[in-house]
Amino acid sequence: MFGLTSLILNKSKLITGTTFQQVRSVSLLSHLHPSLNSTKSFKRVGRGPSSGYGKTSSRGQKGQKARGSVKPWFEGGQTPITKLFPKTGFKRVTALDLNIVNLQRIGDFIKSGRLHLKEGEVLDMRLMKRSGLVSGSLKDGVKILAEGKERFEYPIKIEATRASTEAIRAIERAGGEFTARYFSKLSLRAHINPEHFLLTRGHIPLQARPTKKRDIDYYSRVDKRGYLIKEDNSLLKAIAQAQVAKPKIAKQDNKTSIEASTVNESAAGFTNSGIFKLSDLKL
Amino acid sequence: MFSKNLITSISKSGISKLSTATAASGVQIHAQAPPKYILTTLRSFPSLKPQTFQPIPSTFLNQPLRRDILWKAVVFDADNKRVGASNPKGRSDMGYSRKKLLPQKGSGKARSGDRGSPIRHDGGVALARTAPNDHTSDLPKKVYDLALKVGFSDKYRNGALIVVNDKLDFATSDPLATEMFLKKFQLKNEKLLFVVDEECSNMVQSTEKYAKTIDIVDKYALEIKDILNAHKVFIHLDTLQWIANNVEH
Repeated sequence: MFGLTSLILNKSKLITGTTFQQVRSVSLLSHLHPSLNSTKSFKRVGRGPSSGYGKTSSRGQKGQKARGSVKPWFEGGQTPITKLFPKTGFKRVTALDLNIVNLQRIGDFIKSGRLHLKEGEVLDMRLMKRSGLVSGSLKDGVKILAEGKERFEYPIKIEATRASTEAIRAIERAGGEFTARYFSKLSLRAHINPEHFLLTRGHIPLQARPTKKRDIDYYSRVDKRGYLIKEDNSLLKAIAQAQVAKPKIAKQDNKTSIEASTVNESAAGFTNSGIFKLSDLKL
Repeated sequence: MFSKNLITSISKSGISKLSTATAASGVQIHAQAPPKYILTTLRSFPSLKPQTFQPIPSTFLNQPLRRDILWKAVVFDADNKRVGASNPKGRSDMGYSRKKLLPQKGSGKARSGDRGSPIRHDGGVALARTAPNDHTSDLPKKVYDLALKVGFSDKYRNGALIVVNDKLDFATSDPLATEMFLKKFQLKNEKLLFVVDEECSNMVQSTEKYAKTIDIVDKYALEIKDILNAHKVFIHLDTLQWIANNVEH
């Protein structure tokens, strides 16, 4: 008998004081139970008087509530609160639904080793999603907020949809860098999960450019660390050119309108548009 | 009298709270940090000769027994195993006429509906279902992983976790190999679980006669019930480490 003496001792005997006592090993399986008050059986109505929910099935006697249901907003005939006051304000339906990530959380992740950035690696939204920094659905992007800014001391490059002024300040004070980058819904999906697009479509959608004035304004702001102004984007140049230059109108004297030059100088900045290489995407 | 009062004063809820409550808050005198690692014995197979000690993180093999967590995981597995083949006939499936049996008034009898009404002895089933019925339930991975840890820890504490450093397979597919193994270690009437991560055709063939008591489970298919059901769990160190790396801590 090699080594298993302990096993065999455990099997049949248990030392209690000086005497040996025979114990039966009972499977743990038959002694499992849910924690107290964590489970509740559902109410079975109309199954006879002994159940306590018979006769009227806990609905009381006669009336609308006994027969059907009363609308939740119904206040018994008085003017309901929904009609009492005039509508005020509005809801901007195009407002972005941004996930919030605080500097505290980023710091905690780095400290506990859940987020490991290589030398020069940028913490973008793809990495945030993959490391679990952002969990659940990611609809329109991420905004970095400054909670825990006092203890944030990691010189890392961060890229997200937006960041608060204080967060930007804290990131840069720690020796890092922040870039606010525009993503449409599609390009955000492509950014987070490019493999999916390669598998299903065979190509990755191009990075969308901001088209709304609000977005263009935001991403060309220096204080927001917008990528248009930070990276001297060609779109910004094109817009600037379009504002200055006016399309040339050919003189009608000698030439017909068909003969006139159709070159539009305002489109000069868009010459960079075209087919991208896969390697340009830097996946 | 004191002890009697004490017993009567502890309610059922009190007992269950005591059984799951953690130690009193605040640092106690002479408090010592719990060990980060515990030692398991590495054994060869099938001789089960001890080779060396292997430290394993306490977070994996020294979890306190949580019956509620195990219950959740076992129920979750059982729920997801259900086929949901019950297909009782509802009032419209009975093949009876849909016609009202009696006029509403004037017959002198109680009101009645059609022949298939669930109130009749040969009527259809109220709230009938059509197979397949889905009984699956959800459980956070963290909870299931904790259950695995609790299950392994319980086996470890009872000396029922045997960590092996050799290939978990017999040298031959002869049933005699199993017979000798069971006889030598007095495991004939015990339920055994072998958690394997590679092909072990010899073991599978050799244990065919004991298929009722010997369970051979792939590491990917391991369920908490397999662990709890077994009297002894045999596992290769690499497999154990793979599980430890895959559960959330």
